[in-house]
Amino acid sequence: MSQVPLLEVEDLAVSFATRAGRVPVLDQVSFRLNKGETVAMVGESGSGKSVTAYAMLRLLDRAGRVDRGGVRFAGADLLALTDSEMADIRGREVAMIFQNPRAALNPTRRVGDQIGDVLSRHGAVPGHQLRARVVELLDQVKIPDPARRARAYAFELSGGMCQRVMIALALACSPALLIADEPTTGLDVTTQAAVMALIRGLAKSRTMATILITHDLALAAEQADRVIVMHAGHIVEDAPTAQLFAHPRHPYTRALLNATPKTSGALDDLQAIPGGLPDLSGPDVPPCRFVSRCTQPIDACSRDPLPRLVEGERRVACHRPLEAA
Amino acid sequence: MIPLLDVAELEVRFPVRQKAGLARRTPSFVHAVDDVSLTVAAGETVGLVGESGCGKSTLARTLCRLIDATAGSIRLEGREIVDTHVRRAAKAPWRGDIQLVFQDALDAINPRMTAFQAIADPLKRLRGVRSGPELTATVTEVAASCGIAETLLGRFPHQLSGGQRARVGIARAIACRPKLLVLDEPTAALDVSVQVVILQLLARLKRELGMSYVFVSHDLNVVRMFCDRIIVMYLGKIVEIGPADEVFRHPRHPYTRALIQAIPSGIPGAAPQAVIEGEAKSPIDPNPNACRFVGRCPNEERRCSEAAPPFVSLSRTHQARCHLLRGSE
Ligand SMILES: Nc1ncnc2c1ncn2[C@@H]1O[C@H](COP(=O)(O)OP(=O)(O)OP(=O)(O)O)[C@@H](O)[C@H]1O
Ligand SMILES: Nc1ncnc2c1ncn2[C@@H]1O[C@H](COP(=O)(O)OP(=O)(O)OP(=O)(O)O)[C@@H](O)[C@H]1O
Ligand SMILES: [Mg+2]
Ligand SMILES: [Mg+2]
Repeated sequence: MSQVPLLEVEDLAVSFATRAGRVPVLDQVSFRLNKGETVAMVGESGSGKSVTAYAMLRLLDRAGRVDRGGVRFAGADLLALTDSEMADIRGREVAMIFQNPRAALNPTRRVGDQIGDVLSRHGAVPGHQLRARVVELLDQVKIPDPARRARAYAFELSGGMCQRVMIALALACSPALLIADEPTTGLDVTTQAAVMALIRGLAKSRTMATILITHDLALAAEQADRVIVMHAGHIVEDAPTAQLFAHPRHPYTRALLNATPKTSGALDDLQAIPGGLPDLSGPDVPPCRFVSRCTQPIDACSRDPLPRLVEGERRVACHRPLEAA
Repeated sequence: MIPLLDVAELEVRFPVRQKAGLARRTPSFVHAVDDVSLTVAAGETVGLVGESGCGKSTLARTLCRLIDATAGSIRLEGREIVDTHVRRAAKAPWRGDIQLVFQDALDAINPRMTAFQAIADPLKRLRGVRSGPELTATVTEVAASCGIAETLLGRFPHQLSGGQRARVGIARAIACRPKLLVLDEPTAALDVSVQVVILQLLARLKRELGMSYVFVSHDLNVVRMFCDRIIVMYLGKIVEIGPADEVFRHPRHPYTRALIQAIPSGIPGAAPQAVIEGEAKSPIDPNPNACRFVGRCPNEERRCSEAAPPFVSLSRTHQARCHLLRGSE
């Protein structure tokens, strides 16, 4: 399968200026995404999932900097575009659902008007149809009473409704790539199922590719074609969904699965992953950043550069991967 | 014995802004919380679940007296706290006994405070701890128990990841050891590993200090594991209430059934479970003489749109609000 990928992230490295000096946050992040493909990005909090998305869309805050690497989207080198070219792509061809919907919405503007703004900025619908289209979009994400709710401000909506407004905003222009950062975190499971069905439907009918950033491994399992596992700014595993869940190769992936609540079992059966993410601002970050938490480290882990094993469609960054079964 | 928290017939309504220029009609209201009665015993964990927008956060905030109720009663250890207006509640003597972990950590943390200051703040305000080694020690200890590394304590909220912020929000709320902690989706932004740490921490605090929780969450697997009892809300009303394991094994209200069916299975590629059709009715001026689930209910009958359903007792501890259920007594 030598399809030209829609998105190619190559050796991306990002750092942030902090009081304690420059902290490298992403390192050697590489992955690809085909047209219409859905890939889930999982990994613990602080592992760099959102930063990866922000870096791709050039939305890092001022302290952040891309130190190395490239992002190609539909043939364009996103990191080399002018700001206005980038602004053009953002919202129209690549859309993002932000992790914190209430903060991402403008508090002083009615939510319907905000969606209208996006539509008219990209000339997506003629002016006289704007209102109707806005209400239709809100209806699509299952906001009850959409015509009235279009007139509400963000603070008048529940957390989950803000989330759905964000989704409506992102989908307004039928993007080719949707980056959804925890799109269903604030939603109950029935609404979550409806929203994911909506995203999946669009992905199918318009061959929209999706990056689904989530903590919910069960959701990732159900929705994604492929799963990328991040840990401390590295991609440690990248594999087709069924293979990853059946036989995780990286010890961190297995640990994540053991920490996930299931539909049966008790709280005490769940195992937290020992230790925390290493302090990346320090001088001697080991090549494998999982080594201090790993159940089966060998000498090479803290000595040699991290290997990138490729096996068919799977990639794993580990000196001693688990049995493939 | 009086329960720690005793809520009766609580009601919260928000006025709806009218379209400018329209002649003044009778004002409309969002019925966010309607006729809610519940108790929480000392050391008990009560889960609160329901569709997005059904009023969970409004209920949580009203219990913590951050929103004024329009009617009803809230007793904390027998003392009526519903009449204390929001502004005065901030200084009430019981303030430290009931704390809220916000759904959105950014709502709770002042952007100009470092993580350290955010955790120290309630200790200073509500428990009178002065700055000094004691405060530093307490803050560091609470932070560590929530999995916040010391190096993060000097950071401002925008320099923390979503999950790191959520942990600061939890640390801040448990710092002054409240009797009742109301948690509004505390683990939604957390990864599974930290979630385990936090849930096990909360379980320990409950065992050791007898703390009680009202736990709002969309993660039903977590609710099942963590809660003694569960309350299911739909459009402002409680539709089912009962012991957690019983409700999960034998959900009786059709909405509860749909909810439990929609829990992601975690099976790769599994077609998502059937979900309920349609969408919730508007919470603005709902029909008082009908079940709120009408229009989506698979078992609906005529009487469902003619009268509001009563609570039916299915056992001594399990009730549901549905016309089609028959009581056990
Ligand atoms: N502006 C910033 N200044 C300094 N460090 C930052 C900044 N923004 C993010 N970071 C750091 O970068 C790392 C990665 O953050 P990121 O937000 O990508 O995590 P994440 O994987 O999305 O986590 P979560 O699941 O909690 O959202 C974290 O350690 C975070 O503290
Ligand atoms: N300040 C307000 N003014 C007007 N309406 C409000 C206000 N706050 C909440 N509402 C409305 O009250 C209802 C309940 O909202 P609430 O935030 O309690 O829901 P929730 O159950 O917490 O939902 P979620 O799961 O999405 O967080 C919603 O219809 C919401 O739009
Ligand atoms: Mg994030
Ligand atoms: Mg809420």
